[in-house]
Amino acid sequence: MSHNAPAIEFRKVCKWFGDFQALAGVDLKIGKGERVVICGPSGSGKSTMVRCINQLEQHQKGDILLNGATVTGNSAHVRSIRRRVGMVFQQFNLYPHMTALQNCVIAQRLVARRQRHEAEDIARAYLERVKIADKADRYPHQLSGGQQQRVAIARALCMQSEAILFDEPTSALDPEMIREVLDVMVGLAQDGLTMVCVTHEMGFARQVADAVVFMDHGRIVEVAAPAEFFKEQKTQRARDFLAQILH
Amino acid sequence: MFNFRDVFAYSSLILDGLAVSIVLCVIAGTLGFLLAILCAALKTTGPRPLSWIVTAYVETIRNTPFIVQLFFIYFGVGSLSWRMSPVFAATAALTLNVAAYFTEIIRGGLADGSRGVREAALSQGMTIVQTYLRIVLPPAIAKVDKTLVGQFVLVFLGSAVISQISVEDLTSAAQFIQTRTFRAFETYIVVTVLYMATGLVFSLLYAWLRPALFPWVRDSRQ
Amino acid sequence: MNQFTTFGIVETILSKLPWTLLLSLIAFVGGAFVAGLLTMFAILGGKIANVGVSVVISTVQSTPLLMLMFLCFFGLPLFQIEVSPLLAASAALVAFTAAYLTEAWRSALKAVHAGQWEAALSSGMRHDHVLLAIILPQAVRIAIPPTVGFLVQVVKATSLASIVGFMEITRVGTVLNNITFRPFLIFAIIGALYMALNLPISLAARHLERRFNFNR
Repeated sequence: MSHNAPAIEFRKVCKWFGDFQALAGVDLKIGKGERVVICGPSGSGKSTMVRCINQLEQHQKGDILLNGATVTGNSAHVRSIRRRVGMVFQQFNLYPHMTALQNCVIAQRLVARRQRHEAEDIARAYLERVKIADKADRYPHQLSGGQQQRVAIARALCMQSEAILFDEPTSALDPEMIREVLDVMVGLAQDGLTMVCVTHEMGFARQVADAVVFMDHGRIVEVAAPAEFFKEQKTQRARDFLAQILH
Repeated sequence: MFNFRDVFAYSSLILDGLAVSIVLCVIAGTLGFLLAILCAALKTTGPRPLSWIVTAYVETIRNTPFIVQLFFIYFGVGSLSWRMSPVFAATAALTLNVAAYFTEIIRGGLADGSRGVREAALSQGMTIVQTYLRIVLPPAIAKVDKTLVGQFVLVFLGSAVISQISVEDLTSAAQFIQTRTFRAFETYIVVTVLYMATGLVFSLLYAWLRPALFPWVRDSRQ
Repeated sequence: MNQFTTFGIVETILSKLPWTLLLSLIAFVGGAFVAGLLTMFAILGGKIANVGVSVVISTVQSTPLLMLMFLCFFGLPLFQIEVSPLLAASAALVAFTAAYLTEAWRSALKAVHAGQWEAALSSGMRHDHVLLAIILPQAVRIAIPPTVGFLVQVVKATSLASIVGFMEITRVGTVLNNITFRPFLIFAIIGALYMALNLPISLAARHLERRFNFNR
């Protein structure tokens, strides 16, 4: 776990679902405090790639390192990795039987073993941070999609992990709610948090990303700084993709 | 033609029997619920051999009469092991019976829509057990709670059979009174009404408890 | 008589199997017949009939089946009806079956979309023709899986007839137990027999349900 090791590193990672190869030798280094946006057509493997980092999917070949140490191992090791990497999902996945505050507290209590009052203080601080502290006692079904996703971000932040993974965080949102979630994410990016974000929000990529990763058919096709990437794509596939999502 | 006075002379015996029926069923219901939580987990996410064992157990209970299960445990298992008391055998049989039905009902509640929430809990570093008990299970139970209560009431009504291994329950009280008073029909009318009323009380009691158990469900109906 | 071999025990239990089957048949056919009448009465007899049927159903369903048998056994004589264990058990089981099937069939009829009624009636068909030609065939399709599934409940329920003294397989089990003192074997065999009868029905019912849900 060297001091200079990248926060997250993929080494020739391969992943199959039955006969279908979802990841075909992915290599990537993400430095500490870096913000990386991963994009690509659906089925290109971008979600799978992110889900391998915290082992919600297990890759079959290659290695993924978190601060220089492999993420694979027995269940206790995988849990310790997950403890260090937060995740925000497309469908929010808030715990339906818990209030916004309880959603933020539960893993702090069970996993980080914090005292109740400490966990609640931290939860309130992060709910404040995502500008939803006034809804702390609401249940998920009483919140709009955008509000739910902001609670989900606060829930991930509460664990004070080393990196946060975003798996298409705005794809399930109505257009008018995308902004409020992106604003929160831009704020986080400016705080120097390591962020890996699967998204088609190219405005967000342009604004905060250090690098844009373009994937297709389970491979990383291009990696570039956003200014570069949006000015000139090296491959036809990336050009087609951008033309498609930007109309 | 009818004479209930002779029957009511035994009212304390009847109430004692009712208490035995209620207490045994509540104990069995509680233990059965806990066993079902385990079995539902094993059946949905457990390793193959364990999920097969659970399936075999559930199907055996659901396809055989309770009275045969009761006799098998009290006489059959009792003949091979220690001599168990009727109350113990009855509680065991009721528990195993309730648990099998509860397992299927809970499994139904788990079936849809818990995958994303499960992943969220795991991604936060919770263990599989924490994820199941704290995150996945409560909403699943809330989805099927009325079916569970309905099944519990059915088991309570079916518990009349435990009188056949001389547990002194409500039905056994009735059989005793009937031999003393020769007022069989009246006795069974009284006891039947008590079974009905108790079943109803269970349902009403649960309806009253429900908002405290599942506050998030109550909120959705405001 | 004390010399019951394992084979002798199996043979004796099997010899009473026809009575379990007969009682199941009486209960199911009789119950279905009564349920048919009650369903028609509830659907065609107006609001009061419908509520009345509901009251009868929920009364029977909240009565322990064993009490239903005792009440038949000790109650029917009050109406000068001579009661054998078979008659008492049959009467109780018919009531038990009828209550469930009426509920299932009535809700199947209700499940056929109201729009179907309106469409058919507005095309000028007579009320009873609509019921027979349009609604009933669809309702039957909905009702078949729960009806088949309930057959399992009926077969299991016949075991309670043993308590009022009817000699079916559960009863012969308790008798054999008293003679041979081999309860583990006896009740395992009896349990296996019920399994052999019910498991195929359960599986068939589930299969029908899946197919129905799929076609929907």
